[in-house]
Amino acid sequence: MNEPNNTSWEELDKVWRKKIQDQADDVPANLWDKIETRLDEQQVRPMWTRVRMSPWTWSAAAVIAILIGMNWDQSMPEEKGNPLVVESKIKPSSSEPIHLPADVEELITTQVKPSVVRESLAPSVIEKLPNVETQVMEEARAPIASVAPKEEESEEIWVRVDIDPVKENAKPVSVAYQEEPEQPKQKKSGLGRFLKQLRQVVKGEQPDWEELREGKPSLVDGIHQVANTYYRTEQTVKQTFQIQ
Amino acid sequence: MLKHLPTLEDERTLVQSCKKQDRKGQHAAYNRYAGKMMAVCRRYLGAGPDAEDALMEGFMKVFSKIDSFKEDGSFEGWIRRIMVNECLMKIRKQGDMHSTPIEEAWGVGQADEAFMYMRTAEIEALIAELPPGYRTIFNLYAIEGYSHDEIANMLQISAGTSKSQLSRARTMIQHKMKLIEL
Repeated sequence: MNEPNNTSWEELDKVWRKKIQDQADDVPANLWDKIETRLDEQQVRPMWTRVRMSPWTWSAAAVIAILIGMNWDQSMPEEKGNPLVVESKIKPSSSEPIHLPADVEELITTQVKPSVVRESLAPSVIEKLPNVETQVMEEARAPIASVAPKEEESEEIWVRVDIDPVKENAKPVSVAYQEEPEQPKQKKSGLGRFLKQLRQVVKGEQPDWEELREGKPSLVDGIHQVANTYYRTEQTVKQTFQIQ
Repeated sequence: MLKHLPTLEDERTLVQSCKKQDRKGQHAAYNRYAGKMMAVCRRYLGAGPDAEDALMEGFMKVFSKIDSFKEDGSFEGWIRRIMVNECLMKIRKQGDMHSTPIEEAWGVGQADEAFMYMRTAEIEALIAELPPGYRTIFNLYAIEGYSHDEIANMLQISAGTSKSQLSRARTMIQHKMKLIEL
């Protein structure tokens, strides 16, 4: 095998390398425009299409999203804890409830044929209701219609609304029930309640810091601290003005 | 348009500008290196549209992978490596790497002294006449300065094949020179 004589070739390589490596050719004029267009396209493309994340990263992101969702759900006001509607009662308009004899009640709630009525009624009942045959026949046609509509007309629903913890509204407020009660408005956010209290302070009214704790028991300490700080600052400012 | 471009003389400033995806900086880098890189691409792929394609794809990679450039080396050298890789990919796609796996290197004797005094254009013309397989290995070894092991890695061939291809390329160059002299 003949070994190649590279000595002079290596020298030649160095000479040629030096000459060629600094060589520059003409570049087509529109090439930069093409590159710029493609760079612009890359920038316009949404970030998520360019983000290459491992499955673990995606999983972590999904878990975080779920946790945030759960926290959001918990921070929403609960229906059962709604302080606007505390108690509702349904009272008949008359003070005395309607008491019907047990036999008559049974008749009302049972589909009765007129021919069977006379046989099925006890003599004591016939004495109490002498005109019972006619009545029962009518009632048999519309067993509940004769009694139930009267009840509906005279029905009043008493709703006591306690708005806790605002003391002015703490007394039960009676309102006649007319139609379906409106769904309670969604609570203001924590920031909204805070701003509301601030507005009260600006107006010169006593703020109710307790309201801020609704739905966020964990904020109680923080709210108290803020409230105390605010109170102290207010007192200091008042004293300062008094001194002046 | 070039008048409005910032004069980014310092290579580091140029790199930082490109890393921020600043378009003016990218344009400045392009203006600085496009000519040289065009010559590189044409040496590997000839003076056709493939060379322009390789140059464009190469610069796209330069700008998109700029964050992976460690500034302890030469920026131009880094760009050149990207361009060479782009050219090799094109050659592979075209199936032009007809390298015969001959493990035995040929003895080609000494280089003619006249080679030392050749002009650049003549050298480029000589290289351009080589078959793609020889030309690629000659370019990688003689001009870019890669070792046979590195070339073997890049082209997925053995180091012996790289050596034999280089020897054949040199023999062919010598032969062409003799024809020119005649």
